Amino acid sequence: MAALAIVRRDLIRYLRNPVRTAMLFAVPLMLSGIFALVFGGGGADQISIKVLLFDEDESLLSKLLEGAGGSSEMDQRLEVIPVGEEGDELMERGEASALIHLPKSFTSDYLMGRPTTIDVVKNPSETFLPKVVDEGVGIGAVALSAGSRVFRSELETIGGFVGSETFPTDLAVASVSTGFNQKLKSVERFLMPPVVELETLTLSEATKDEDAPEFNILAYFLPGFSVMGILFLAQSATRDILRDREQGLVRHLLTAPVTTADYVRGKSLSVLLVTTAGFAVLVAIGIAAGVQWGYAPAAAAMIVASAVMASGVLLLITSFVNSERQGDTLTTIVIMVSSMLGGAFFPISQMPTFLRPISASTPVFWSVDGFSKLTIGGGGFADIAINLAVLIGVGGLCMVFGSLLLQRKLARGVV
Amino acid sequence: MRKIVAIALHDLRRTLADRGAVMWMFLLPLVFATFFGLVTGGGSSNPSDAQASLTVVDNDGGVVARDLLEDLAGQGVAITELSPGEREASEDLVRTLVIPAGFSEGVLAGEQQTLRLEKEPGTSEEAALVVQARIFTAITRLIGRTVEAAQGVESTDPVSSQAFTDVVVSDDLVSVESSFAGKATAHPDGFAQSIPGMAVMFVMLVALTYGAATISAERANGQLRRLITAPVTKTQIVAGKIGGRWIVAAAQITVFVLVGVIANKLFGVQVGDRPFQMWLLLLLYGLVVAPLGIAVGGWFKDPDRAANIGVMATMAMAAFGGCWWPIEIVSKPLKIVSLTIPSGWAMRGLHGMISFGRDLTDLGPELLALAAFGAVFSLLATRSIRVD
Repeated sequence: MAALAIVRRDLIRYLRNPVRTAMLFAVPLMLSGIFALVFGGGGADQISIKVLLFDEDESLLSKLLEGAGGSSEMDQRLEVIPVGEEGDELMERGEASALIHLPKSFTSDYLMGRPTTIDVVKNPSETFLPKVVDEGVGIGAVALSAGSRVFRSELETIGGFVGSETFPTDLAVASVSTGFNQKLKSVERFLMPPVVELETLTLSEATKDEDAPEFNILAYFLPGFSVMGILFLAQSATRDILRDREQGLVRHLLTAPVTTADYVRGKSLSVLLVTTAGFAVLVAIGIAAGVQWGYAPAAAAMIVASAVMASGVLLLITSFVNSERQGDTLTTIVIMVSSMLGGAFFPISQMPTFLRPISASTPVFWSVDGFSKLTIGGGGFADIAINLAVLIGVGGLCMVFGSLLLQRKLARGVV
Repeated sequence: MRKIVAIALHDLRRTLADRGAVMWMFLLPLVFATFFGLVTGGGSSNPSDAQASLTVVDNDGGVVARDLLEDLAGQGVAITELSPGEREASEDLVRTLVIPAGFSEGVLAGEQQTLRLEKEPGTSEEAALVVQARIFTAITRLIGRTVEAAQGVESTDPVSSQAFTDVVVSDDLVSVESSFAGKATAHPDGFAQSIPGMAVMFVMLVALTYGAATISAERANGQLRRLITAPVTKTQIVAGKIGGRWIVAAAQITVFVLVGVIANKLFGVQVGDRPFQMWLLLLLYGLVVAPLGIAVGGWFKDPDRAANIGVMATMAMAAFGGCWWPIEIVSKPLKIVSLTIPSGWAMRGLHGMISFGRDLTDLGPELLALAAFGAVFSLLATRSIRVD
């Protein structure tokens, strides 16, 4: 009964200070939102590649090359800005992803079969976008080179026309036209449309079945940050135990008909309830933002199991420390490090191979992994059985040992 | 001046006496920088070393498919070939190119074939663009080769495999020569991104949490009021408080720069070759965030609330300023946002030194922007502190 009174008192304190309570949820929600904005539809789809074009040739051929992005998707992302000599200086200031320089005699060299080079100056402070430009220019160069091999004689004739001071005769023009036409006819089936096309799709679209949850980028980040969030919530709840001791509240309570066991039971239950309720709130906010948490009973089980894990781990750490300050330092390190290693920030697949076994040894991993199976994989109880067992097993053991240690310390008057 | 220094040193002593503060100042930034550095590319930050990974599943195995695969390989794209069975068993795929069965025969017969590039959701969009462009290059080369092989073949007949392999592709008439602007010492991934990024983030975090909470607590418990009874002016108190936060920031910055230098010497981690100038730039940045922390502390009476607001403001400014990822990966509107916050300008300046090899004297806009932020935040700090 006394234990329940302690739980009631703690819950009322959280409800009486809604701003402070809301702050506890703000960080995981904000982090999820930022990650979703950057890596989701609000960001990645809008990536534009700024390219400076220094076209000294200014011929039809160079204009054709300017349009050789490779695909309409690529073209949409390109923002081509014509520049002059100042292009190099702009690149030195990192104003664009790349500068393309077409030399003055580009067209005439090409027509006459003389090797010619397109210079691409890339921005070293960017990793991938300059490479995209490099590859895009490469597509144009490869196409022109292949065209040169097939239509060499016709191109040289045109080159002769360009170099000549007199206008070409009708017969000469007709002969080039016929040459082009005949060669094109023989290869039309390979070129119009191109004999090989590329279809690009995101895997979730390709493999989606009726039962799989709708893709939502928040579903990738919210579970991880929520797990980190409830660890901080559990930290805040267990901090009360140390604060109660430092402020002398425990001594006061023990003069009432309250045993150390009542106090520890009440506090443990209070931490568990606060953590579970906190996670449920985060899940509810996620649902409002369009995240599908998968099969509801399985998600509920994961919420409770994760709360048991968070409460247990934080109670155990609290049972070892002797002051609020010491507790804050130690628990913050444990939470941050285990959240990073456990995949709360980045998917495990992005981690170096040597870190992955370490990751799997953190309880955070089992929680994040379980939620991923539900939110992304559309799994059920069978898929998360091991996750539930690990979380409840580890969390339960930590909670039991933590409570016993706390109780012993209270009884000895250490805490 | 002596009074300002005395107040500043007193604040520094108090901060260093707090074990939690020391952990957030020095330990966690190093843990974060190491973790983010490892996850986003490790120690190799040479601009030419960046690799976009691609798994290829060749269901065809014919001569045209093999030719395509050869053309796909090259600098910038790391290719792993898997059989369809191996693909099913693999869990770490990022993006996969599927070559359909009958691809070679179809291409040689002039029947349109579709290659499928499957991307895992949530993976790098920029790396996918590199891969896509590489595939288009290979397709263009393949079509060119097929067209050359088709010369003299009846338009209804398929091109033979022999004719396709017999095509001797001479050197390309049009070639591409690539170079990097500036001195190109390192590009921003791995540690070249995480060390400056975490330095900028944690200097701000400590100023906006411990700095803000300390001022808030001093205001709430009347310490600031008591201070004004001593022979010091409000300006001296504010300057002393800003000075205290700046010395804390300077201590952090010095450690981060030293760690960068040591990591460079021991592990070859590339963080630029201008550590002293980076140190100076970060010290200026410290002068921007120190008054911001004081201002936040002055706005809130509850220290916990001031610290919470500080945490959230730091997270947002770190993310949008490019501390967590290279700013190139964000959309244009977010790039503009990065120019409205001090962390964005600090990161811009640091990357100017690390990636372009620019000197501090070449970073005029960045230095001016930081100085302007510093002036505005100092004004806000002066207005937000109430000592009477």
